[in-house]
Amino acid sequence: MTAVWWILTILGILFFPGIGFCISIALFDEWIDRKFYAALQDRIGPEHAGFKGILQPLADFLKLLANEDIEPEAADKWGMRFTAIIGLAIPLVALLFIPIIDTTGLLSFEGDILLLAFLTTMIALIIFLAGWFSASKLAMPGTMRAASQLLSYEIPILLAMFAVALRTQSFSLAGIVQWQLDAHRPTLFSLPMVVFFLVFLLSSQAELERSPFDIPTAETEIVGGWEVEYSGKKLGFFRLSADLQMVFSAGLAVTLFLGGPTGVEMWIPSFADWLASIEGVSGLAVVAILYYTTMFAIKTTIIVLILSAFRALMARLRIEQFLEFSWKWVIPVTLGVFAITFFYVPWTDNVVWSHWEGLFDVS
Amino acid sequence: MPRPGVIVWEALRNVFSKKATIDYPFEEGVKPKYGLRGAHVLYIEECTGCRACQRVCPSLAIEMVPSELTKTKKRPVINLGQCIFCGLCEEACRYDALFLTDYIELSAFQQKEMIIYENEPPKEEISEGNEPKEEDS
Amino acid sequence: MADKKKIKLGSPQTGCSSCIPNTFEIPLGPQHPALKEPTHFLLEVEGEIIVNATPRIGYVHRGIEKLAETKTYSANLTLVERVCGICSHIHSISLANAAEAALALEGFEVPLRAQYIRTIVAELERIHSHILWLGVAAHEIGFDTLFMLSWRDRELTMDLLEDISGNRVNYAMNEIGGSRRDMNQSQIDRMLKYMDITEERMERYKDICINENTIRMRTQDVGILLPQKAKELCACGPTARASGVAIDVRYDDPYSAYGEFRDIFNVITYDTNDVFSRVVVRIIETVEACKYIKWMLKNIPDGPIFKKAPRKVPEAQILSRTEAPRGELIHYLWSNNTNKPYRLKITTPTLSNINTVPEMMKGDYLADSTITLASIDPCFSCEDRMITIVNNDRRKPKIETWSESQLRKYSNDWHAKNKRWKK
Ligand code: SF4
Ligand code: SF4
Repeated sequence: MTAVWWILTILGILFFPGIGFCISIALFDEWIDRKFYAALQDRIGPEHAGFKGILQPLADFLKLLANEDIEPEAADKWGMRFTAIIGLAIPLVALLFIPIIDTTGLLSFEGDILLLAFLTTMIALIIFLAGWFSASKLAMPGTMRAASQLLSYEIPILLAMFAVALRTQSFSLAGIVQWQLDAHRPTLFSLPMVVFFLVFLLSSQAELERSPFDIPTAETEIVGGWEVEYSGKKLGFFRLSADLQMVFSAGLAVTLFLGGPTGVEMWIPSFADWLASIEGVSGLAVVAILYYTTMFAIKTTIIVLILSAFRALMARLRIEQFLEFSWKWVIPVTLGVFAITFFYVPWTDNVVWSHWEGLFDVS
Repeated sequence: MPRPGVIVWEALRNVFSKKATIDYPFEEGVKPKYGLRGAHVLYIEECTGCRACQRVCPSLAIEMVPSELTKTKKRPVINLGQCIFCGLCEEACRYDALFLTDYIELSAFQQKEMIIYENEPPKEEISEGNEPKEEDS
Repeated sequence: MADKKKIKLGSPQTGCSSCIPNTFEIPLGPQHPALKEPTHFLLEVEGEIIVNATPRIGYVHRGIEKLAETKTYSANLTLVERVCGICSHIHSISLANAAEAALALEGFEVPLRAQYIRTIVAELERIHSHILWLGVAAHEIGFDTLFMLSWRDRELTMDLLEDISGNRVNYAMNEIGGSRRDMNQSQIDRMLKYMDITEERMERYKDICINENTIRMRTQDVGILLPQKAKELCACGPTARASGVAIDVRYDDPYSAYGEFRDIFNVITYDTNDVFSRVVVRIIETVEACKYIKWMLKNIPDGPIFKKAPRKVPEAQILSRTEAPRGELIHYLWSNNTNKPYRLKITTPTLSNINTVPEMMKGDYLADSTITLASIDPCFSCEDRMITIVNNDRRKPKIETWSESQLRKYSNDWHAKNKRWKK
């Protein structure tokens, strides 16, 4: 039994739903992102590689792998290589904790939310190191911007994550998903969680360094910022890492606020029972896995669509405007709502929700 | 009232409308019906070799080479790599021998491919007139 | 509305003064993704704040003025079009105006219809140049959607120009003594239709630019150029008009067909003196240009479009001013009774505007340097000229201009040193 479990886990980490699956969904989401972004701008986007250009992100990645890899004389070369690989590894590790094919993640323990919080910060630190090692005049302001941006988006992200943990009284993603199943609603519909959802999306946008918060990599201002000296394989790794981060952020948002890989069974108890019953049956387990994966993919794609629409609608902020926005508005509001959540919400929320449930009595 | 995201309706409308992109080599591009300035066509039987086109060309793209087909025993050779498509040669030619066409897909891999009418046209293309003699160019 | 140049205090990332120097230099250009052409600005920054900027031009000197002396006037019309890729037609108008002014000494007159056609093409060119600028500026502040949408709408104007002239850039529409191509009724109808669409779209972009908060955040109070400074530093065109200086050659000194509709002509000014004001001025100017085109299309007279000019231009020295999309363009022509100019001197608007950029940049954030630079709509290859920097300290460059005999001596010396260069 243990040997089978080990083999299954290792296969899971390598292929499904581990590295292989995560990379494919990351590339798929990049395609969705690019297509939608292009459509908002009245363009068609990638078109010719595969069906409607679906293989274009993969082709870009492979092309970058084949490109010449130039390292500046003054740079810390091993540092650059190291950061590129770690930068790819961290989001992959983080994705293993996201529940994709089941209501628990591939790896899961009580308190994994803390580890994820740590990993999100690590990603930003890696970016800081990446800029620092490349020893370029143009990378320096990018690095500084990345560092000051880190300070202002990490706090809202952490507050949003812990607000959900507070509401669901659980410190593991599996527990959060289970709470949502038990409560018959995604966390999003608990009263102030909408605020945290928005804050989480906004901060994810900043963490992913996408417009309007692409300040550390602003192409027209500091020529790509911290990634200016990276080329070839290393740039390919960073690009893939950015896609993986996008999937990770979207997946985390889905898990925390939208019920994770669960879907309609929240409201149809008999379906939920059936899903639980086939879990042990080896033949039918595939159906459950496919169902969960599809649900996860659909929800992640919706989040990615929101993020890319957000990317298209605004001009890039200046760093000090972003800091101002973050420290004067987002963080105080988040803190305030956090306090409200702590003292007030569990009671009102239950009252309102049971009233709501009474209106549409489903069971 | 200033607010962020004013362009949102404009952008969302674009998602559902037909896209502005023309997928050019796979779709047909837009070009006007008349008056485009593209590659040249030379009716060598009309050409007298008067050198008017060569003299007027601002970028020295036209060179006169010896030929048996024209009156002055010279005919123009046009280097599209130097041509700026101003159309002055077309206007200068009084014998209606040189025209600009709407053929605009002119990219080539070699300098040599940009030179048109480098060789004499083959015999069967010349509808009438003197028998051209073989010559080395 | 900022009356005083705002000095922004507090630099977020100055470390200890002993290990990190207080200011460090960041080069902007010659190769930079925000610059479409090579030029160099040496920015001294303190944290993220620019304390000084030094421009350096001269990377793409092409020797067009010298080349013009070896070509005939009609060949020169196509040559000067190549000075600038975007505002090309206005250059040929300028030279044609200069030559025709010299010919007018002998009683030569250009047909009115030709003047109208020239003016229409010039205004179309202004529209496409301004929309192009709007897109570039939007790209500089990271607003790619506006960039794509505005360039989509620019395509209408480009199609019109292609339809009239046969080329998408460098239209080659002018000849000394008139215009080379006529417009027929179907073209005029199409133009009227497209101008209505463009005008409507530009009105919408005006709404977007005025209402969009992030655009305002990036452009307001950035790159301030006070009217006084604008006059001192010889700003021209939309850059000056955005500082409230009402100068416009089209109105002040009408050429071609501009004199015909001087009474409906508006000189657009705006008074916030910053980048935002330049955006607004350019967008409103585009709307106005659509109106002028429609007026001209409705009132275009019949008649010939070309009158054959004598080949030789009588001796004269003529200064021809025109209003290019970027500002006042000056062609100085010295003709000597031959079919080639004796001397042609071109001063493009960017040359007078470039001096205002360091003034605008001082005290701004590094992030704003590109939009500030883009806000004058720079066109560096047009304005580049031969300079020799004598000393190596780039902060206090001493610039020396060489006289003709010095140049000749330099050339002789150089060829003596590099004997085998030709082979
Ligand atoms: S093409 Fe026309 S202008 Fe040129 S040599 Fe022939 S006849 Fe003369
Ligand atoms: S189009 Fe102009 S440049 Fe080209 S060959 Fe004719 S005259 Fe010369």
